[in-house]
Amino acid sequence: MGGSSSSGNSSKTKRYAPYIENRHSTMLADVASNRAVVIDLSPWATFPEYDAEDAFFAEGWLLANFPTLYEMFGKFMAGLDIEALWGEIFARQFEQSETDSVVASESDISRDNLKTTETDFMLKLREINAVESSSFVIGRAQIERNWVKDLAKLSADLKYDIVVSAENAYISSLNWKKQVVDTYANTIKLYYLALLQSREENFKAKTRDALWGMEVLDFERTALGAYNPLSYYNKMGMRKRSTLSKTLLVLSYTATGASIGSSILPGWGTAIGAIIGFVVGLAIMLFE
Amino acid sequence: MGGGSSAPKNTSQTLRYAPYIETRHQNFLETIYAERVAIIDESPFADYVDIDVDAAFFGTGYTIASFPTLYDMFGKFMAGLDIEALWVQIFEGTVNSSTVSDLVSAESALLEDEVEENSLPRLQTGMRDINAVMSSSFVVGKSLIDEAKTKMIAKFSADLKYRLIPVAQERYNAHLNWNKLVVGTYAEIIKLYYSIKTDVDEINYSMAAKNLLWPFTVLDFERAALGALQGATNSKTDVAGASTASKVISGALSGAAMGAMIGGQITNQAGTAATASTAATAGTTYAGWGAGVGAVLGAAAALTY
Repeated sequence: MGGSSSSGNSSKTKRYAPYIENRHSTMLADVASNRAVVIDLSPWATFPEYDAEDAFFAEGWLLANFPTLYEMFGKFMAGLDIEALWGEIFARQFEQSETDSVVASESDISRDNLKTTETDFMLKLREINAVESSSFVIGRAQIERNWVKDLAKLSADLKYDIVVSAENAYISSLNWKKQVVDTYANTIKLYYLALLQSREENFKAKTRDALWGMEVLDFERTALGAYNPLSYYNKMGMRKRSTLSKTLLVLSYTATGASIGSSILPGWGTAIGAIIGFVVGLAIMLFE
Repeated sequence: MGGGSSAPKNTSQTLRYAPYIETRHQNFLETIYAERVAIIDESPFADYVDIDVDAAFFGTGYTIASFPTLYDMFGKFMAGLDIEALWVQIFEGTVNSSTVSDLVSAESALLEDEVEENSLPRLQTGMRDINAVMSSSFVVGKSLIDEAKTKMIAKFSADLKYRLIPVAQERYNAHLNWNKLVVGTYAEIIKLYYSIKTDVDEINYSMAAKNLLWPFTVLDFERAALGALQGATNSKTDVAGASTASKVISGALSGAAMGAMIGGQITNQAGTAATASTAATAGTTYAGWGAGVGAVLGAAAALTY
């Protein structure tokens, strides 16, 4: 280093050993030549923009072309007349012709059995010479009465089963309508998640393309200031998850896995879901 | 003249570097200046189009104020619900509905047909063979069959109504649960709306900020270039105005994705085994808690990224 001073003005020149300055000079020349080569070759220029809407809607369609979440909620939940729904389901279940078909076929089969019963009855009455008696008439009528009762019982039992079936259908219908709204809400949530992430990536790429020249020149800046320990290249857009965030991420997936497991099989499902969630969270953290 | 001058002296100190460095630095500054001029008016954020959330939730031209408030819904479906009147309505609608009357009538018609088409002809044929159609026994026998039919229809009607009482109870439970789910879902939709709205607004505004701050982002490189020899660095790790919104969204939404959204389902306790039903209910409860915890942890993980 050297310096000069006159009339209150001074000049101080920072110098380094000649071999260092020679190397530095050579390096700066190399950096400059490499910079000239790559400064116009932004790899981000060819970045294909993500279009989240293509995945959710057909080409030419927008979110506004589809029912809103409030419309779906109104149609499937708040505006649903669940009493009328019960009436429809209950009536529809009993309208099915299968029940009558079963009764009719059972009637046919039981008539065949009835013939056997009647024949046995008549033979026994004949043996005691009572065919012409009132007992024979009443006996025949009782056989018919029992047949009517059996048939009525069968028909009734079938219909009682349908009552349970109607009740299950009603509950399933309500749950289904709720699931429609839930799924629609989740779809919208997913849409915005995808849209924001794709926008973020698209604009990140556009920004890096626009700043490509500056990013290249930043290497030259650090090369010029190589003697200064404070001079370093500051990478753009690179973030690392903190340790706390890593822990919370894994815990989040663990809790989510446990919740899914609980909804399927409380107890064992909770434990298995938690383990799977933990592994998934760990894997995501490691491969992030 | 005598004496010395007491005027203050202007002093300056010039820091110089080796000529080859100064030459390179000068060329470098010219290059970065040219680059700055080229891009300073080319903000990549200039063509950003704001994301609209209201369209997905309410439709074009509507806002959240156009719809019933959560308090309105709570009043309509829960607090203002007359559950005693509801029970009477459901009981009558289940046990004494017109459909039940129709079922009894249909059952009566079915048995009537069977008696008329099968049972009575069989009896009559047998009685004719023994020449007993005109006897009192035949009349008694016929009445036995009619009596059986009448009794069975009465039994069917009574049994059906008796079996519909638990169904009415289930319907009542389902109705109450459904109303609660309606309010719960409405609340969750509002929560989801504000969650997405705040995140999207954060993105929209941060993009606007990035656009306005674009010249400063570019100039910051030149600033760092000017001070390169003193170790000045480009302090930005991203474009000025960058936000953490996307991190929040991806973290919170993925963490909560599987269920913090909306509560459970209606379970049919009469139609299934009690233990299974209880377990399912418990499962739903745990699932809701788990999802809630997952959501909170997911959001926290994003915020502490």
